[in-house]
Amino acid sequence: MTKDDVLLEVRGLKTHFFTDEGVVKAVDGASFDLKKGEILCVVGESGCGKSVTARSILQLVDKPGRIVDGDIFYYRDNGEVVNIAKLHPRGSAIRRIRGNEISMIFQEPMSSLSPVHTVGNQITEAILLHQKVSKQEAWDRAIECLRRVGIPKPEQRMESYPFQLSGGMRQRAMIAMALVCEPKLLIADEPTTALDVTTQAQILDLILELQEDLGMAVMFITHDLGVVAEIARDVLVMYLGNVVEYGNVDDIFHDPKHPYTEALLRSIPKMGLGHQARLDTIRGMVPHPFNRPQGCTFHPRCEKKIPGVCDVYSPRPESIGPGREVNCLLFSDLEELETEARQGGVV
Amino acid sequence: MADIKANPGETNVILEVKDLKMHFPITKGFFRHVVGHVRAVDGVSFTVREGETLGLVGESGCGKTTVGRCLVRVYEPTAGQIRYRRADGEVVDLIQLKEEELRPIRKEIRMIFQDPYSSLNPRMRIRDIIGEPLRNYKVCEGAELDERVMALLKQVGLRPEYIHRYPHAFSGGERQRVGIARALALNPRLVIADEAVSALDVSVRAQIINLLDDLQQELGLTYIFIAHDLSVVEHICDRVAVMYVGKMVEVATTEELYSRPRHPYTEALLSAVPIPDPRQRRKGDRIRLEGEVPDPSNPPAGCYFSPRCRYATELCREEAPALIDVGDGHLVACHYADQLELRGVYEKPKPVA
Repeated sequence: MTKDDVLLEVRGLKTHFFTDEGVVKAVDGASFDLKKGEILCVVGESGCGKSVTARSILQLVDKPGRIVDGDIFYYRDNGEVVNIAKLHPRGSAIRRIRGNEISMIFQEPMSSLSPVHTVGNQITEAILLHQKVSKQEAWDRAIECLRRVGIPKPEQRMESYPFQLSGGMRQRAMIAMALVCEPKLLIADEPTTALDVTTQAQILDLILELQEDLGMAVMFITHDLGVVAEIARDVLVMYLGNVVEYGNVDDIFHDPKHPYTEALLRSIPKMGLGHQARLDTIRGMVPHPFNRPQGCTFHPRCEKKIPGVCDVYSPRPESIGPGREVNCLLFSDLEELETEARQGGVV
Repeated sequence: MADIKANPGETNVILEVKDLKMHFPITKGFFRHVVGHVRAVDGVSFTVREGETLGLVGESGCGKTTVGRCLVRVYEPTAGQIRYRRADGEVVDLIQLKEEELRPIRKEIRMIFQDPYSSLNPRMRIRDIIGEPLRNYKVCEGAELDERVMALLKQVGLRPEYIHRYPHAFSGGERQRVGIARALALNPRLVIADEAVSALDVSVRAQIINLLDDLQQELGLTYIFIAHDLSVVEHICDRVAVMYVGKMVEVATTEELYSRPRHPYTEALLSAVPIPDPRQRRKGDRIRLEGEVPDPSNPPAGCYFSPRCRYATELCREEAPALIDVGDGHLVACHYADQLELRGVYEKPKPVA
């Protein structure tokens, strides 16, 4: 992969929440690349930091959380590079990017759309904020956009309030709002989780179609491995604030390297196999964020853990092929780690 | 359909629902006069056999949860019969029973709820949450109750020491186990699980599914499993009933339904489920359902599915099809059930390992 293909380069991102009870390390050193015009799926269980990673990219982390370390390089087409992690969350620089070059859609369209403004109002607001066009022009473009996402009778829908639309239509309206400025990257945070399967299929088709037509990149956050298999090109698996595995969707599903990815894939019921005896499970549960395990955060639940190693050393991302990374001590040079630890102790 | 009374020989039917209707009134104005009805459940019939798991599936608003709540009489159904066979063979109609007559039966039919965060009282200790039904029915008290609660905790895979904790100290999966323990406290025969695993993460979901499976074998339970996730339903259900806008559209054994669906809605529903294998991506050949689920207060004429059905004809738009047996207890409500060649999920080529 050459640098030209990269749209977003995240390096060592740490987003922590400083609560009264202690520090929650929601994202603790995530690194990955997002390629231009590709779909990257981020999967993981609740609390793994996938949503916070996405919000960090747009500097939308709510208090008491903030980005404490790391870089998010955003590459513009003209060669300009912006480090989003260093921008002020309420500054004008991030506002130029947010909603314009990178936009986001959320899980629950009812709570993320304004209930007291019409759909038309909300979409034109996004246009007028970022582009120098007249109100009439913005209105026409908004109608065009609603038509583009498959909303019937868009002229009438412009005057509707969100509560007058069904769940699927609301999600379409939100997608229209996100796409109205033709972003380079669309971040979709569980956009289909609250929808029924048939509506979910419609929305997934729509996102795929728009991604192809507009050539934008999509960062799709989900916990549903079926959805991942359906749309992703690359997959990022997260666990407790760390990226545990990154790779091509086919490699992840058919040749998973990290024990967590393997276990996750084994624990989902597969359709078409009939009534099965038992599902494989991952023993235990995701630890509470206040007491993260020492060493590798997954080791208490891991079936391949090496005593004396996994509970001592923290793994780091190891490249195991082109575009393939795994964050597991099974793939690390243990001697090197030990020497380093010894030297660290001396100093 | 097997009638309990007509076939006294068939003793394995534990519950028979006949033409169940639940209409909620829509009121308007100061005097709240009724201007219409939401037909949440509109003439649903099915049977549940002892020891089986019956899946009740459909999209949101199809009435599956309402059916579950009618069965435990949380709602008072508008019409219909719910005939329940007690352990001693006596058959009672749950709708006709008065509250005090229903009380002993409430011991036998219990419910597990979807959201483990809102279904447990945050101000009660685990001992009281699980022990409440035991105390209500005066089964046991004091040290005996503690012992029983601890045994239940152990049965659902929790440590007995947790008995004095509050729900906030537990994770989602653990709370769901507490909910299951509470449902099991009175040794029920029939458990209605309403989206019991939908709110859980994948790794925990697998644990709970296995737990439900173990408990069924251990205690000989009968489950009605209400869910929208078809891959989970396939995994745990023996038979599946599909609902659409308050009506039953298809009932069959899991294998039959998934390999050879006979109703176009079932076909579309199965086709919409994403398959967790990138090599089986179904670009283009997925059935896209156009439009939306109709409003149950103002359903379309004829078959409710006809406006979205790709096989619909004039007949479908005019006349509502009845639920008929097309062989081996496979019930379908479609005029063309015999003629259509519908696609299941089994025909897909298996991935090359």
